[in-house]
Amino acid sequence: MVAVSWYLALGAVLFSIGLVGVLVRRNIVVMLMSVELMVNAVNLNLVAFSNLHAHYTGLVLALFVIGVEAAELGVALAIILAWHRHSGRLDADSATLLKG
Amino acid sequence: MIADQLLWLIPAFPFAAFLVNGLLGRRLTKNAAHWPALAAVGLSFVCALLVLRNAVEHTAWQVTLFTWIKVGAFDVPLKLSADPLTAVMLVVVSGVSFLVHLYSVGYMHGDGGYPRFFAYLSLFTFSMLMLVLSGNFLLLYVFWEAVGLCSYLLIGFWFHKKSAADAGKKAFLVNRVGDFGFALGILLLVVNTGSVDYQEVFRLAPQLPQATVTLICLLLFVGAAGKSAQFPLHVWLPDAMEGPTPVSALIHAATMVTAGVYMVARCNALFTAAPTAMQVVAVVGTLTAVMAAAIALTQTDLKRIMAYSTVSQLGFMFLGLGVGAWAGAIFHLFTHAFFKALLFLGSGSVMHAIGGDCDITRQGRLARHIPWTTTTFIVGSLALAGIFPFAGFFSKEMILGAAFAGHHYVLFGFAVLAAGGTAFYVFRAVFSVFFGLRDADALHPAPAVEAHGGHGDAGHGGHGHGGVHESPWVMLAPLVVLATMSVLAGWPLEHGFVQFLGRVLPAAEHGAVPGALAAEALAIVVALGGLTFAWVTYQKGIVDPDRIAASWPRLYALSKNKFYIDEFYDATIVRPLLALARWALRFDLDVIDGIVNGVAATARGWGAALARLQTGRVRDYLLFMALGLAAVLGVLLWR
Amino acid sequence: MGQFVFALLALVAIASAIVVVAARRVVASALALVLCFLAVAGLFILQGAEFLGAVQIMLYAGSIVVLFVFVVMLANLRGDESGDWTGPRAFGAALLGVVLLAQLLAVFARARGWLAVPSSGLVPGEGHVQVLGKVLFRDYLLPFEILSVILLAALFGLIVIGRRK
Repeated sequence: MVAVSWYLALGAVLFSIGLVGVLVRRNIVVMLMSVELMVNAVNLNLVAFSNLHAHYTGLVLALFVIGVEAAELGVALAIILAWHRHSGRLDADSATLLKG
Repeated sequence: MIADQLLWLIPAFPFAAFLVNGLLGRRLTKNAAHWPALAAVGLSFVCALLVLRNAVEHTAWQVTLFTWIKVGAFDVPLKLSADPLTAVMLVVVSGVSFLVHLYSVGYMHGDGGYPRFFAYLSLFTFSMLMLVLSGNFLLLYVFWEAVGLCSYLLIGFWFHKKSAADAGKKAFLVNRVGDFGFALGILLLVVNTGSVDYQEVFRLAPQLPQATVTLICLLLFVGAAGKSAQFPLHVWLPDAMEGPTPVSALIHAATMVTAGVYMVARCNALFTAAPTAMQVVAVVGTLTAVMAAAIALTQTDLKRIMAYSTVSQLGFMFLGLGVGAWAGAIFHLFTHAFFKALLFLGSGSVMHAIGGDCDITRQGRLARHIPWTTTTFIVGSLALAGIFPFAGFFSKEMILGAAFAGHHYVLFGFAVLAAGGTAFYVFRAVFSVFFGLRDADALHPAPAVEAHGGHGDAGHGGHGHGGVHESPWVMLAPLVVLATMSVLAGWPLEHGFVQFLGRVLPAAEHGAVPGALAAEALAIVVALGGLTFAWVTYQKGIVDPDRIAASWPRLYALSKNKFYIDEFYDATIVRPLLALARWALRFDLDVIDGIVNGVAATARGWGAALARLQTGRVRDYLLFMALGLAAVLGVLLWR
Repeated sequence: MGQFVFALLALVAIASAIVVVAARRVVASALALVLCFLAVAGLFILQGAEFLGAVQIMLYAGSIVVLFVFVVMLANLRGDESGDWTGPRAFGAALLGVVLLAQLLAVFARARGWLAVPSSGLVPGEGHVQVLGKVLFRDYLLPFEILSVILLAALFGLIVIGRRK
């Protein structure tokens, strides 16, 4: 069988890839997708640890994460749509109202 | 004991008047401000007379009000002491102050700062009385400064006038120089004797090494020179004439300037233990007397003449102190207070009569318009010139006689010279103003209310209210009183005075010295000579003063320009100080403010730089977050 | 056998993740995302969390990606971000990613050596779903209820935000 650590390592890799994607891409939708990647990596970790400790808490937490992600994405996408309607662009760099 | 109560009551009355007029003057007393002040000073005068009577009977006593400073072994109580010297000073101060208060009712009538004036006068009277009553050096110093403050306030009374404000500042600053020396002297006394109490110090100090005592006395004399306007700290007194004339009469003739003389007399125990210091005092006094008299010869401002005369007469007093004529010097202080105050108040009366002008070259033949003023003024002048039997004769004789008897022939000679000059310049003023060759009426035509050409008093009796008129009775009464004292204070009082003071002051040299009689005669002759010369020049017109001035142009210029001392000080002290002040200002603005502003600018710069991190772009913030995360993980892994 | 499946799924996941992040066109990213989710779902099942795998497929691969595609469609994205991967920013981010990865791996390595515990099934005996149900509705009932409230709130929120004025 596969050692738990391999799963953890995979999770770490996916997380890093997602992070790079968030930092590099300008397109908001793609950024959001990268965030999803990161969350999935986290879920992977959770399940792996749940396996390690033979305890269901990790699974339950992963379930909740998925649920909350669904809610969050819904709202995020609605905002993106509203933003696009308002400004016609979807460039993360164009949202600089909070520039200090 | 009632005598104890008197001691603190005397200054308490004027202090109360100061509070009333100072705090409530504007609202409550206004034009009646003179009532509390007059009442207070009057009461003080009465108490002073009682103190005098008590001093005649019991000589000396003290009263301690409370403990002021107590640090370890250093104990300074608020102690008032009375002895013959103090009693005499109290009577002089309160008496002349009362007369000046009365005079001011008329002179300052209608002035906008009427209550303020009386408040300041009361404050001054309080301070001077406390100065004289002090029983230790620290208290003396406090009130020494206080009278200096009052002098500043009163000289610059009309502070809107720049020259008055400047004169006030000058007086205070020059006094400060003297006070610095005074303070050093007191400090030396404390260091060496451990006390500031008069009795303690006078007991212990003469046992100190002579160099120390001499140094102390010289420093104390510096203070006296500042307060009493002796060379080289005399420059403030002529400028102080910017103040109202009653102020000049009270402070700069009779009382404040005599504080230096009083102080030296009080410290006679110290000075007699330091003969070198006494020599210095005598020399400086004589030098000042001659110099001031020389300047007064050519001045045209009536009050300035009197100011230089005061400086000169103070020089006489210091000469007296320096040659050991302690009682004589105080006696001269006593008589001088009367006739000099009289002369000043008389000058004020003259100015009042002709509308404020004090230039003697623009006046003449005023005698017929202002007879009272004229008569009293002449009495004062005779006293000043030292003509028998007026008071000044006796007091001056005491000093000159002691100088001669003590073999100080050079000083005697110069003093006689100064006396001659005194007689000359004062009668120069008398003749120019009251009699003489010019006619004030021609120089000051009455306002053209009458439609006549050709003025003068041809056909018209008086000139109505716009012309030259005598002063009101409130101003004339003090003149009369002072004139009376100028006559009576001399011969009748001389012997008793000296005996009375002799209880606390050492006796002067007597001894029949060969030539003493001749010396006395010389002094009398010189004085009369000065008077005659003035008469001849200014009344009869036989000698032309302008030709004399033209014959010795450089001497004349030296005299007219006060020996350029002010200019010298200006160049050597004032200008460098101003330059230093300007440099300090630049330093403060550029360097210090620069540093402060620089710090602020740096903070702002950093802030601006850091603000550039706030790009408003989410991706950048995410980047920073990730960086932070990496950093934290790095730190954690490091451990 | 299990190792081979794991390796395959892992590779698919990583590859599709890279495509998501790097693809020029947004639709390509979306499709790659689906693939990634499926791979992850497979990994869940491999570890014995079947229910979770099913949920993953249903919610993530099914609904969420569909949402993404809808938005892409509505916003009419062209996806012309060619300049994204050039420049110092990309380099820095890539570097950061590598550093972070190294750190994370180091953390795991430090923790308990290279965890050599094999991943067995989760709970022998009862079925997975039953146990999960019991734990969920017994021990974690409150968070479950709160989750439903969150979903309700999100629903309201996105309706309000998404309205046309």
